Amino acid sequence: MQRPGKKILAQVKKMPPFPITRRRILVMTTDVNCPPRELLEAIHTDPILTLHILRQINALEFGLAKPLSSPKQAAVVVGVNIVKNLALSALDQKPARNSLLPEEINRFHQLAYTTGALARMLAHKAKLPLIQLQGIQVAGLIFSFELLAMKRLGDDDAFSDFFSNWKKGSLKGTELTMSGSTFDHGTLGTAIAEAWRLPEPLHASLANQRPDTNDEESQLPSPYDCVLMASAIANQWLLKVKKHKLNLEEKFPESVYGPLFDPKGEAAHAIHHLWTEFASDPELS
Amino acid sequence: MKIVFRGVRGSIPSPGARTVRYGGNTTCIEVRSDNGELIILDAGSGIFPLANTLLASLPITCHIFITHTHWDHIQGLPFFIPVFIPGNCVKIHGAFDPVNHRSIREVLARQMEYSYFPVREEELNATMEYTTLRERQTIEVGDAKVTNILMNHPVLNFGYKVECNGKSVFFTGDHEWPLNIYPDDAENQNEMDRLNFLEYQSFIDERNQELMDFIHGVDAFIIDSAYTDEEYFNGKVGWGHGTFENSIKLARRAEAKALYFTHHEPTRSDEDLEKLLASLHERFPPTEHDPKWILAREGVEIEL
Ligand SMILES: [Zn+2]
Ligand SMILES: [Zn+2]
Repeated sequence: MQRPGKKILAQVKKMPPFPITRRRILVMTTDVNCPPRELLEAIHTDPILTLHILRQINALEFGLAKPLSSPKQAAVVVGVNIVKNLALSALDQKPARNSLLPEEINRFHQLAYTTGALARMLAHKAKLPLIQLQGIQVAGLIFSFELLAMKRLGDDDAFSDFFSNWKKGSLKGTELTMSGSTFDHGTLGTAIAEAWRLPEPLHASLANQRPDTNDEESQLPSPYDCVLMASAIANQWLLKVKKHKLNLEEKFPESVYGPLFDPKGEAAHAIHHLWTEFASDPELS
Repeated sequence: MKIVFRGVRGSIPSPGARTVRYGGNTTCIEVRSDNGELIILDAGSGIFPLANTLLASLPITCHIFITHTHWDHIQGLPFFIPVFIPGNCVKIHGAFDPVNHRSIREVLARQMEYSYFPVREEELNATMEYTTLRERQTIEVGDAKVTNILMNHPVLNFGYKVECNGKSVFFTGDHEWPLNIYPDDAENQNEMDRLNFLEYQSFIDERNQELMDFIHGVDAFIIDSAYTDEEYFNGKVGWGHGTFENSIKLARRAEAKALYFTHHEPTRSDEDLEKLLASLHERFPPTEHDPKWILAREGVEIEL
């Protein structure tokens, strides 16, 4: 398996944020008094925008002593105006010609958002430290980012393969061929995470690998376990993918987490409600 | 170590009868190490009177540390006379601009472009050296060392700690202590809203602790206190500045030996400032462990 070169990373960097986030943020930032909460929550729905901000914030030349794992944390450390301007610089890029249908883009966006929100819920239920939750949400949000990146770099057939594999629940086996080179999606994810200095659990999430530090003996789920499980549940809710075996059942016992799995349950309803509120603003249409 | 306030005003120079005692120049602090190394924190209009005091002892080597590049912290730089005279060495340090991807040199050079100033940065006669700092990078300046920490402001802002032979001073530059963007209402909040609040608060608590650890025990704590709490909560939230009341709390928590309020509002007269300080003494009676509270005043020299 080849390692993706600089050229591919450069292309990934150019990916434009999702159309809904773009519209939302451009509208809200015309008001200089736009509440930071609205802005940060909008950023937190979009894996591309979130990654753009984290890449700039964690860049070596910027020189932060400790890499940050979420735009909300960045807002506290460097101030919300810097996060806002980094977001605007990403929105400055012309939306690229995209062969994806708008429904497909929105579907991916919703899936990413749902995975993130669920990962955070799972982590909260598992009583992981509060300070980690936002990073886990972002890890869930970007979990499948590199698949989307490959779509942009690859061809449509490859993406159809990806979607059908996705629906079958066999993400791990996905391989795409691009201009003669084959990349496993985890390989591209690892390259992105390393080049952009992303801390755990974001690194693990993009690389699709359990971090080495994870204590296998522990009964508690690790941040990455939460992301994996969240992805499986989100796929089940939104893509009707059958729940597949992740060997995480011990860490997410039915008695504790049961209600979260129910596509008609409260959690599914709450997340769907938040998404709909975000995605369909009458002011925007 | 010795400190001289050369500019204590925020936002815009404010000369005139109302500000004649505390001074109208914008931010600039002169720090001298025990061996006489010259360290300058910020280059607001106060750097001009400082420059005039240096002319008798040319050539000089000096180290300027820029907290951030808002006008009131850099506008004096093109008038810092030693930069025009061969033989001087001016070493400028500051942060990277992550939004426009510019080094400190590139950011500062822009205010000397044709439209704004007759001499270009490339034409300065002194030896100019620039260092774009990483967070927590320590710069040795003779017998002193200067370390920075990121603060919260609408543009990237470093607070600087200068240490020399066991004495230390910390200057915030401009800084707003982060506020939770979610309301704190445990009684009426649903689980999700509560979680939002607690989670955001965990970032704030962690960050404030890091800042407090960094500042702990300094001999002089010079802090942006642009507003009163009342002013702040009536329309100044998010503007990137601190309050007098909060500065007192923080100086107590940091166990600083002396607290200097600075970045005075341009509209605040000398009398206003003194009234304000008196009311703070009434409202928060100092205890014996409290640091001294002092209004930073242009021209005042402090020996640490
Ligand atoms: Zn200022
Ligand atoms: Zn400022």
